[in-house]
Amino acid sequence: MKKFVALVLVLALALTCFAGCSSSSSSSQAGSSSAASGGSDSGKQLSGKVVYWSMYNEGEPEAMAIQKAAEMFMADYPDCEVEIQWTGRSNQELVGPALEGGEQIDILDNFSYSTSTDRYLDITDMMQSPALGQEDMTVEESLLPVLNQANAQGQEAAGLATDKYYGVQIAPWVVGFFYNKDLFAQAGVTDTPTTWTEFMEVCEKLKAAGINAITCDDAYMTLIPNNYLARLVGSDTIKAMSADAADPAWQSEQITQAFQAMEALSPYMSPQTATNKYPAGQQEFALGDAAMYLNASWMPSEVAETAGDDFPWGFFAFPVVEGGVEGAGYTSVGGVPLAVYSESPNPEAAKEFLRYVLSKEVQDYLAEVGGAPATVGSEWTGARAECTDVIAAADKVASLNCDLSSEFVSAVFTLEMNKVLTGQTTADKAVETLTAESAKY
Amino acid sequence: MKKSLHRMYLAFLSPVVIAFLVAYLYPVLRTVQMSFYEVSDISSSSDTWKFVGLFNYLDLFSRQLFLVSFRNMLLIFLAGGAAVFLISLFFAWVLHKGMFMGELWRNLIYLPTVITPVAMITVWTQYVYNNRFGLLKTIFETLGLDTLAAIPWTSTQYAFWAMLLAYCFCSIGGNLLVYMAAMKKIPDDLFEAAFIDGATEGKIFFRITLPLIADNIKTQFTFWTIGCIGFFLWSRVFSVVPSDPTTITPASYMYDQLFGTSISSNAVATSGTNVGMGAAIGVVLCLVTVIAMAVINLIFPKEKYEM
Repeated sequence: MKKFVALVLVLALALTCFAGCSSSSSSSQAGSSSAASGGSDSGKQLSGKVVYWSMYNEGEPEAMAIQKAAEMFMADYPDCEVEIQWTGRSNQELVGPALEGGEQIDILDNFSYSTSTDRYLDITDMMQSPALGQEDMTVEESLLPVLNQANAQGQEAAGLATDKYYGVQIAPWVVGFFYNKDLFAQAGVTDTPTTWTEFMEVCEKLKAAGINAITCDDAYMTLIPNNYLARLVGSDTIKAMSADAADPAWQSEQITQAFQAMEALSPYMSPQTATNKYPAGQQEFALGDAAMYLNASWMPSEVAETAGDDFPWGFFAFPVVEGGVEGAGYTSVGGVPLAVYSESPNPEAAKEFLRYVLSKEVQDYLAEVGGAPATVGSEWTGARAECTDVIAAADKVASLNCDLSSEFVSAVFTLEMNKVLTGQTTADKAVETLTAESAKY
Repeated sequence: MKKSLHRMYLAFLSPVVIAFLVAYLYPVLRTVQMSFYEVSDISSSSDTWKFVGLFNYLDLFSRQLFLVSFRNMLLIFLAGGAAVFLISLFFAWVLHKGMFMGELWRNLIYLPTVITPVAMITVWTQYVYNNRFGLLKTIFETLGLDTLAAIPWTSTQYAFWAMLLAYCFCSIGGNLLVYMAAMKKIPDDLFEAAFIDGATEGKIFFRITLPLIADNIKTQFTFWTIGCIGFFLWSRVFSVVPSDPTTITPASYMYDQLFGTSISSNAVATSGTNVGMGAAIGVVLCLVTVIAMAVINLIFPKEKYEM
């Protein structure tokens, strides 16, 4: 009996320890020192609690950086406390009802401006205040211009003013072709292609060397035709096409051209492409069985275990389509939005905390631990270092799917493009189907 | 005495009734109400809702993708249903008659039912159907059936049937077990008497076994119907592409309307949600279920056989 009681006590003690561990995640270790100061120099008298339910999980690079920002912030403002709940990717499903229920949450992330548009506080004053540790520029200037542009486009789509900031983007990603440098060298390809013609030449060289030029899987298959079409017809036409399946652009010559281009590309696709279920295509690339894969800069971390540390990563921007509307700077870029809740009881402290998250010191630390920094001049690290130039050269922002989305796109366009790319149908037949189906949507 | 009995009923029943009303009836009524409104976000408060009458329903039935999803659901119900019921009845009958290593076969057929569907789907998409080293490819190649080995199972052309095949494979075990248990309950005298009277195996199956397990078939058929109407997980996991017309079902379409179809959580621009229409789909599916139940009650015989 005594043994049993002892066992129960030990268990209880262990549980208390675990409970202690978990509560430490809500970053109340205010005592830690910080190298950067200057926050309190702003002369602000801040106090109270800032609550943030984050989409990140403890241990992720972004979570480590945010944690560091919280520690720096609390060191500079001893009367403030930052409480972070690491709620994971589906945090939006929890945050909405919690806000409705009156829970205090001051910082929001992982949202779309289009839903619950009135939730986001105007933080323009913070964005135009000096950047922490780089007082010669504003916070706005210290961030990658394309990220701010992506943010403005998100706001615009939701009907919010574009000359203000209702949120800010961190953890940037950029879309381009990842390629295997060894396979390129093996095929005698020395320069990465910048135009579609050069790109097709590279594909031909790879094929001649017996290498599968491109692979893909169902999840990202839509990126290839979307990127081509968007460069060809331009973002304004893409918007009109997304809005209406009856838009005349759907019947245009360019649509036929896009289908024909994909038909011409299909012999260079890995024969597995038609049947690759995500992540089978990524794995094919990571195993060195195909030379290129079109994806966003997060891909190296998704296939890190298969690719290994010495994988010959390379990255280049989606080639310019000759005769197309969009230039070389047109790129799919995005980030994770952060905002201050419009009814936050402590908006000033929340905004100031965001300034700490956006500081170069925190962003450089993020790069160091394996994340993608949002500040200008911060070097991307690891396999992602290859993406630094592409995001720096981007000047016109599109979403991941190049803003081409509607039910018609999902149900007909993407499906037909998929079939053409994988050789299951011809461009002519696909265009016929597209024309016939467009009347139904 | 009677009064105290009433009070006791009330005392014992009220927790369940209250729990039912709060946790079940309220969400149902709220969903019905929601389906008449334009709602932008699933968690937006009700004072931001805009009344639109029957618009969500009219809009829904004019959406081609919804009609596609409905057609997929009917195909799963009919084609999948025929396969699952015929095969499981056949196996149950054969195993019931006695077969070499019958127990082993029964357990093997039941095994897929025990494994969580997400794991099963992953095994099917990433391994069984794989065109490089997949199970089907290897088997067909070994048998020299090169045409069959070359089938691109998970390509858009075959994806629906590949999904249905895998789903049926996993559904047979449960049915089989129920039928075998039901067949075991039938007294052996009946079979012996029929056999002495010169009845063939076929006659015994259709005249004795089938009528006596009709109740179980009805129950399984009801479950199958409900499963098909709420067909979601397989559609969702089998294809990660949002609104993939090859495998979309009404329940999956409803999810897209409620939570959006962003290709990734990292995307800045996500396609908007239409929560009101999502609620309308929920109501439509609920009505379809009610009608299906009524039809099932009509087509299955009312008369009970005494054993």
